[in-house]
Amino acid sequence: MPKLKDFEIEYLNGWFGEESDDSGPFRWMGQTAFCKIKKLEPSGKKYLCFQAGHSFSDKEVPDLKILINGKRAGTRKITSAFSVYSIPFEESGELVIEFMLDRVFKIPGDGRDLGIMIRDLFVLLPEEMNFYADGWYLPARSDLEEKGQARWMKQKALCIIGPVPSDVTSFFVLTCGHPFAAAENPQLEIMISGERKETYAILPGQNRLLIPLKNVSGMVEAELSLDRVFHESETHETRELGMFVTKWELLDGDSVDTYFEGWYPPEKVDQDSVQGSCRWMRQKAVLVFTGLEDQSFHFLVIKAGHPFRNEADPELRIQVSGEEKAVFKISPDEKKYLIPLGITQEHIRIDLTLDKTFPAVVPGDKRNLGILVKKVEVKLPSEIEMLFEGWHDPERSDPGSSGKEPRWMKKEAVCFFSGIEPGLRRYLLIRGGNPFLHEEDPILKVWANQELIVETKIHNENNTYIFPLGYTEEHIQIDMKLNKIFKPHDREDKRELGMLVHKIELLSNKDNEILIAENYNGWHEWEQDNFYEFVWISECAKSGISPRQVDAYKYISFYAFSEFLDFSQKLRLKLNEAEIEEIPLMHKWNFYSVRIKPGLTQNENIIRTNRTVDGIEFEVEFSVNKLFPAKFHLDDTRKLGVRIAEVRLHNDDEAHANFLYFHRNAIVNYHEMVEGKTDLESYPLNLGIDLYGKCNIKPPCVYCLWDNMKKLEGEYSDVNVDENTLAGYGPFFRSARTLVNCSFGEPLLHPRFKEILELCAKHHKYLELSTNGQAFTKKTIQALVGKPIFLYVSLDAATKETYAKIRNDKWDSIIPNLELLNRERKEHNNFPKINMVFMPMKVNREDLEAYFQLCQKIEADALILRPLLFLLDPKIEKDRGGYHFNYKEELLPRKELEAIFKQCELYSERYGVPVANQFEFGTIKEPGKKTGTDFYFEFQRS
Amino acid sequence: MSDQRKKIRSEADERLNDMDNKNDNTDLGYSKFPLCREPWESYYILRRGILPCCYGNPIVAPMKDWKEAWNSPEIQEIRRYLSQGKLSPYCRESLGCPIVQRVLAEERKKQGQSGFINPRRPFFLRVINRIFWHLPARIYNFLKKKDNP
Repeated sequence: MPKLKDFEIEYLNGWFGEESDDSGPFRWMGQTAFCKIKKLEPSGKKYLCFQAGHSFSDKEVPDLKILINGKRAGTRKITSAFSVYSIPFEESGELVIEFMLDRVFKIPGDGRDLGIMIRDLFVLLPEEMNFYADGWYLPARSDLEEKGQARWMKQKALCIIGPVPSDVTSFFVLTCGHPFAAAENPQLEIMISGERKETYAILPGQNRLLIPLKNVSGMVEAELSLDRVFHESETHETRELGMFVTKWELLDGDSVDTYFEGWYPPEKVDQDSVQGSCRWMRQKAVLVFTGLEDQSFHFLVIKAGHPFRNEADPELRIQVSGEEKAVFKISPDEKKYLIPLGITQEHIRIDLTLDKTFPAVVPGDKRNLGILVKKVEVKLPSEIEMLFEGWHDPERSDPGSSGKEPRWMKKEAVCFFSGIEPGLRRYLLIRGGNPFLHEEDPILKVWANQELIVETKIHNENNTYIFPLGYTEEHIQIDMKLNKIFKPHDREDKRELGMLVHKIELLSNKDNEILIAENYNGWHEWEQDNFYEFVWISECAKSGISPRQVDAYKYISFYAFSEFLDFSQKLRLKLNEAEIEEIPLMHKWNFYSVRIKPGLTQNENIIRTNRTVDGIEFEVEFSVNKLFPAKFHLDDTRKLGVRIAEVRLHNDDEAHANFLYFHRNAIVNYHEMVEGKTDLESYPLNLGIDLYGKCNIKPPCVYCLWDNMKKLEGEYSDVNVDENTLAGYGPFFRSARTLVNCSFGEPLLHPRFKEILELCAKHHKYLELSTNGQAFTKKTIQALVGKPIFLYVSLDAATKETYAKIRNDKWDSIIPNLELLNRERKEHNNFPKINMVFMPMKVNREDLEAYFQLCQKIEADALILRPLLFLLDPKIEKDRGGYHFNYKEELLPRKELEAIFKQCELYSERYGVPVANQFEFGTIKEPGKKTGTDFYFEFQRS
Repeated sequence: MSDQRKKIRSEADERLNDMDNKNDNTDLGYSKFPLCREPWESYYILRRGILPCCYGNPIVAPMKDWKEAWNSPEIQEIRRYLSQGKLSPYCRESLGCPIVQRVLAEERKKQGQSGFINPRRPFFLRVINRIFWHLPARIYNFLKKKDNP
């Protein structure tokens, strides 16, 4: 492309002859003057550039109108001081340019009608343009301007920046300002390629502005416009002065200084012999970070201190785009500070302001020093370490230990948790204690994301402290502050010690859960029995629920296990000390539901006064009227009240109503039983059902009374029993805690198996199912997992050979299916429970130990020792698997059975498989006096 | 239905109030139970018929009579015996039940007979026992007691 600078411009009529001064040649024009360019080749944007001035008063500024080929191209006010002007236009080919003034002047002694002086008239392509394109005075020789080679702009000015690369975000950095401290500061608005950018306040002295150039490339126009120019009374000169510019830069992201403005040059720090560079901050400073992750939450990490220990600490104010992000004191000791910046673009400009500076102490250093900054970084939450600041190194008892040793907290400390799943309620758990043995306990204040959440005494002993944080964001900054510190006895140890912290972590709860923290507020450890993961409470255990939960939920539900059989142990529930319910507890595990709202309305005042932020919680208290007597658990010295599991909040009116009905029936049933009533108003707790009358083992198992039973069933043999039948049992169904399937038929074959299981689970019924293990499919396994079901898998054999003698040759598929079921249930609360049934007979007598090994392999919950049904004179003989099965011969004499029970105790211990001995059906043993084979009594039915 | 529910509720409430003043001892409540809890706590609605317990034999009613059979004279009789600490004639027939077996064994012991019903006790031993006034069984039981005090 040809350079246009060399294009010859023909001066036509209206011009006076060429004159010359210090700055070179110029021409005066009259009121109207013409120029001509013969052939201007390139199309597209071009600028007509010139310098102009006159020697007349600035009070009567002439307007210059410029027409190109008769078309108006632009109008400019021509000030007396020489300035640069650029008129953009698009025309090409032959150009006639007309300059028209609205007035002319006469100089005494000069007869000419004088317009303005014009010099350096060119047509230029954008690439050839000077940065100072239009609206700029020429650099004059005043002191100020000379120093910085500053150029003044008028109210509006145009700059041409470029070339701007297209692939990366570049930054236009403009250093500008004004010297009039007493005057009102102008506001600068910048348009980049016609698009409005931010407005900047132009302060006295130098300002360094950072303007990102996004989505532009090549030569870019920057239009600067000020909301005011300085008045003559402020400037003491006649020129229209806007602001001056001393420097402009076009930088790519990496070249933008982090220490953008207001920082002294880096220096080596000698104090504490710390290597690396440090910078002193002036009273005001600017940090710029580029290349950040766009639209992400960022934090500023600033490591700073100052050596002026005898003075009051300076206060640092941090602002982004005029918005205050933080104000805090900088203490003398070097420390890291964490400041949330919010969601940022890929670059950020941070303004720092101190409330004071200190004169440098070193003689000859005339600087005013703010704070000494060692490091500044902008980080994503995930990049911030948990123990952010204020922690001493772990107390290592022996080298190479795990790193979970306690740590001393300094007087102030910061913890940071990131990557938290939002929408859950959080608690902060701190386990620790203070070292002030003979003094008053220190007070710990804790802030979460700048909001004070608690102020509490820290006691000597190692205690657990839990503070509710409410519903938190994805990250939480925890600031902790103690009111006193402790100096170690060891003189060598110069550390300041606050409290010794063993553990600090975030606990979280779903919205329908309440917090149960181990060994805290009356809750013991989490344990697991053959039903649930549960916690023992002592006489009383406390937790909290948030106002939001109280608003959102009507009921609290849980499972409880009482050791008392007579409903004499009662669980009392309180909300903010107001009793909401007292429930007599059933023996063993049961579902309970309590309405929480009545307590709320009765004690509204108590609750409303405590209602501040969402994090402040209502206290929920579980207490029992009496403990599980210690004589029954001599090995366990804890105070044991009742076992509690799966505490949830819910709104299921039907479940609540069902519970009330069920629970009242259970009480009546108990009383009718102990009072010896025979005509009952209550209904049974265990309901035997008969789900399915067909079996997949044909011919039936050798001991099965199939033919007799089917004869007995008669017309009912084919009757349909499904979920509607069960619900149709009405009070019998509603009152049942456990449904026991006793069908002569394989229940897993039921066409509506899934629906039946769903009905039982929905109504919190435990379901006991005996199965032969040959009907497991993907579908039945999916239906079983996660539901409160107790499977009794009748194998009675540990080898293919024995199995063939009892049933058939389908042994091989059974164990893989049980293993699959076991894997699947692990992801669903470990339900269903798998109990492996073994009926000791002559035929399987030798399989006993192998059966234990099998139970161990498939991680069965228990081995069930079940008697072969006693028949006085059975007369059942069958030949199967090469074995002659004589029912009468298979019934083992008591003595042999006792020997088997003894063996079972031994194997139970050896293979870690609990044994439930159903030969002892109906015997009631006190807890704590268990033998090795009465696991059965842990079961729901007894 | 709702009337019956109300009745159950009011009675339950009454009993709850009663309970406040009782049961201060540390017994967990076992002593109050009858010989067997099944006919109160359990009920079997099966194709083969209605049973008061899973070892029950014979059935007390056909499957369709599940509503009525709960308080049928047969089951009420079983409850009456059990609440008096005895086995009903029905239970005595249900030999598959471990409770029944235990109680019968104790009774047999009291009568000087050997304990559990042993299906494999050979006929000739029983004959010898009778011939010798049950002396061999008594000696056997005495020695057994000595072995396992």
